[in-house]
Amino acid sequence: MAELIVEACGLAYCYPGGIPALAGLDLAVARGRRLAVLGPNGAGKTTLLLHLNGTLRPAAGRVLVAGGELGYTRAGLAEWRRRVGLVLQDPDDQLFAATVAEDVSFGPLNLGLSEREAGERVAEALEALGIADLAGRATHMLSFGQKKRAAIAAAIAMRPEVLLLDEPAAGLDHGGTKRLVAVLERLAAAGTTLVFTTHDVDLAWSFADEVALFDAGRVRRQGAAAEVLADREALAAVGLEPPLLLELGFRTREEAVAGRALEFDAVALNRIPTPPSGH
Amino acid sequence: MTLFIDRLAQAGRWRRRATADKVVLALGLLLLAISLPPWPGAALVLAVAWGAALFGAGVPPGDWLRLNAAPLGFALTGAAALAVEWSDGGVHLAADHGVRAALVVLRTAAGASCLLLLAATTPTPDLLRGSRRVGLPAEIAEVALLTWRFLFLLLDAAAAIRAAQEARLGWQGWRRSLRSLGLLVAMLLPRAMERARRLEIGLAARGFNGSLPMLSPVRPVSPAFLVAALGGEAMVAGVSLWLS
Repeated sequence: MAELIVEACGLAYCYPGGIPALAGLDLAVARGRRLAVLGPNGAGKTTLLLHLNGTLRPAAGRVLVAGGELGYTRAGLAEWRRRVGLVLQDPDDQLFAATVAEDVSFGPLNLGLSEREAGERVAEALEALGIADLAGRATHMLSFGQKKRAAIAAAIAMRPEVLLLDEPAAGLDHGGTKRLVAVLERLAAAGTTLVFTTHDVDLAWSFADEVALFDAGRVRRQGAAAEVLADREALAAVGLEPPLLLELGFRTREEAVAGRALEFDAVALNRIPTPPSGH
Repeated sequence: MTLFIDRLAQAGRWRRRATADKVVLALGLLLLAISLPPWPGAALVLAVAWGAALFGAGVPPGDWLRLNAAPLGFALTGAAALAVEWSDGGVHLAADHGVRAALVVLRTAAGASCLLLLAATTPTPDLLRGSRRVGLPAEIAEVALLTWRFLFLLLDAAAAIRAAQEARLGWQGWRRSLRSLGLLVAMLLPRAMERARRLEIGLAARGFNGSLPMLSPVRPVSPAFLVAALGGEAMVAGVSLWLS
């Protein structure tokens, strides 16, 4: 089995007011993998990510990074943040500096790097995200997609081993999502472990190699993307449906089994009702 | 959402010029506007500031006029009281034929133009960085920078709330408008608090430990620009003193 880079064991956490968010959650992330945490809105996916980088401290359970607990001391958290980066859903929650380059330099300087080294990291991160031309641009004058890429650049400039992304494609149009996936592909190819939350099964299908189905504070099922996303019952249990391509495959097979001729009719296809859950 | 003056500063021709260059020009002219006799000193300063803004920095004339309208309007309103006097049961032109009022307007317009020249060519963060270099404590500069950044987020939030209210007829008539405005302001506070909390999480994820270190862009001072600015100011002072 591949080395586990992040592991959550029996995590429990309640929001203020006693509302349970995590209820004995277990999750294992192998080094170099791309794990999609899939679940409906409001299931607590963001809360899970905030535990995985030490922002929130669980009421019970523990988080291991490369097999060890880093602890919630100042030094422990500094090490944790160096190794596990986080990109929030709304880039405006991360971008605080006047210009893109200044914002991206914040993390590397906090690592204690010299200005020269930090400058190199900034240039490298901006280049990786394809936004080197935006270095001097005011952060409040960027488009949403540009802000998103700047926020990711700010995280990867710290060269984390694991990058946590909260709903990375939320708010992006089709082109923006394609650019984002291309960036994530490059990061994954460079060896960064990626964990991202989403409710978009198609994004998980096209990009993740592993999927964890998350609902009611627990991981209901974790496994290879192709297997989990083909499990209609498991998906239906967390309020999701298979990716469109898989659904099409299922229907094609059903038609073939029934001995009906396969015909392509866009209008008719558009009117086919979605099969009931667990079909 | 952007502020009009910030948009000018970000997009202007002098955006990448060293802050020191622009400070020497604008504050030097301001000093002359205050210290020289209003005529012809303030008039010359006014002409140089307008020339620098329109031809040097390339501020669009319409935008420059719009910027100057508010302080000029304020000066004209205030000077009106000096231009007239109440006597024999009626309002008459002042004994000095309004000369004092005109000089007040001239000096005010010149001073305001100098400050607007700086504001329209220099983004706020550049001014804060410059202030740090001349001794402003880092903590104050950082808080000011965060406040500046927050301003745009709050403006975005306010614009979104207002659009949502307008879509439901919330701004029709003064009574509804007042109520909607109250609701908008009431909504902004919790949103600002929530935003601040999330920003704190974002900063913590990148190792925030109480300070905000950043690699600020270095823009070299232009000796040629400084010589031109100081030379121009010396000329304004000389001509003004000679004529007066």
